Amino acid sequence: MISITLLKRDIKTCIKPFLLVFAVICMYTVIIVYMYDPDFAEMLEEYQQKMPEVMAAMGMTGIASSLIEWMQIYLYGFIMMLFPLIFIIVMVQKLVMGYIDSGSMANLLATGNSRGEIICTQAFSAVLWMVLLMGAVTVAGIFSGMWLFPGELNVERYLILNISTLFLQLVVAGISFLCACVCSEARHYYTVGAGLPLLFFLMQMISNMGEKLENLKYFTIYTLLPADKIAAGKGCMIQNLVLLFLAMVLFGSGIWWFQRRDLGI
Amino acid sequence: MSDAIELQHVTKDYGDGKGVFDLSFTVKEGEVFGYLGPNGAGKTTTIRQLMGFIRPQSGSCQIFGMDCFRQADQIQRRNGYLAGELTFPEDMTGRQFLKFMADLKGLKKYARMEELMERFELDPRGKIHKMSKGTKQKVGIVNAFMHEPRTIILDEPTSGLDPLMRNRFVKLILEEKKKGTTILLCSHILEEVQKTCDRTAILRAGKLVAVENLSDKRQNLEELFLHFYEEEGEEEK
Repeated sequence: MISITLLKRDIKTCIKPFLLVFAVICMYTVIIVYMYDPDFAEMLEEYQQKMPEVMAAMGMTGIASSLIEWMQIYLYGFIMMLFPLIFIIVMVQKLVMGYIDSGSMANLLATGNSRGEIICTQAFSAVLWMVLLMGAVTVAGIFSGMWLFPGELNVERYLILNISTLFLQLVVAGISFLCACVCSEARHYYTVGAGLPLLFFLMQMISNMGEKLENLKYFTIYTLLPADKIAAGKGCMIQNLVLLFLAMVLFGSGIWWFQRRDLGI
Repeated sequence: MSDAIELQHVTKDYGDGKGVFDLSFTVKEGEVFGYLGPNGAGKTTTIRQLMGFIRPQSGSCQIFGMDCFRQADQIQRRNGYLAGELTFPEDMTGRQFLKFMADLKGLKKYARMEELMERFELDPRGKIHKMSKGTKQKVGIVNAFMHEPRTIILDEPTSGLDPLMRNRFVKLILEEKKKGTTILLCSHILEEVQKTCDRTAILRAGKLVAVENLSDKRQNLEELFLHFYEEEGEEEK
């Protein structure tokens, strides 16, 4: 059901944005771990007091009593959400939308590979890239923890946190993927496929600021990643299952729709 | 001879009179079939249905008895296609693209590809997006013919080619015809249609207005074409 030739091509087209996003996340991860230091910690806590709304919007609230909580507060509210989102938007554009928008999907379909094979290959690529990204980030996080503060990082919780984050990002990728499979023009894809995840993300940021707007959290998928609870060692099996289910439905619908749609190519 | 391509009462209505309406014709195996019509007559819509990119609203579209939409992959394994609007991946060189397509088509040998490149004097080393229109067209032609297809669908194959290359293209079509390849040729270059096609269909406003057997009578295709073209103009008045 998968074309190896196309998969190799996918690696070439996505490697640059992948490395770029990975480098940025990696840099932030190392910096944040590095700042897990009483002096810096005081500074960041000061920020929390001086501009509570801004820090809250980025999910940067609370006092960390361990490195994992520290990382969760300063990485998983903003950086680990926004940068993977940017990667997803670019990646799905390259894997699916670009082929449809430019018409070069015609080349792929005129080779005797079925629509199912083509689109399943692209879905597989998308999932693979997300696994690679989160895997590489996890390795970078563990290493920087071991290097800067040996023995401080709770690796098990860090792994669980990153697995849940991966599931969440797969749902985001699923939204973009489904949109790319439905849309005929890139601008529609950007409006919905990129706009909807961004909207969810903004809702999350606003609901973080508390008060009445807190109820917005019931309308955004980002609520399904209770990062603070995971860092505190609480389970999130139900959320994980919901995320996985959503991701499968989104990717499955995209694949199904692509096989029956009209392509103006 | 059996039918290679068969359309029966195919309708695809895009509104505003665009599309094709109750279109029926057949192309026999080994035939070179010309497909003419003014711009916007529905030629590309017909081709998209043959390629399985879009589905007819009603009627059926078949190649060698297989449904063009549902069995597109089986058809495409033995079909060559040259699009009217060529689009290539921007970052690839001509050779990289052709190799990529050959691999996707499951080709084991590149001999035919090399032969065709030589024949059209294609230098495949440069990036495709920097190539001239004519050179891009050559890449498209090599891509359409390199896997020895049984049927070939060509949408304005010689646009951008110089007269010498056009001539070589006509020769290629005649060779393929001898081999028994079925070809559907959309073109505005009436001369090459007359030189290669056994029969020619003329499409206007999504409807077939004539199917002429050009080998029977040496009639002037240009006159014929203008005749149908002008008729449309008169109707508008």
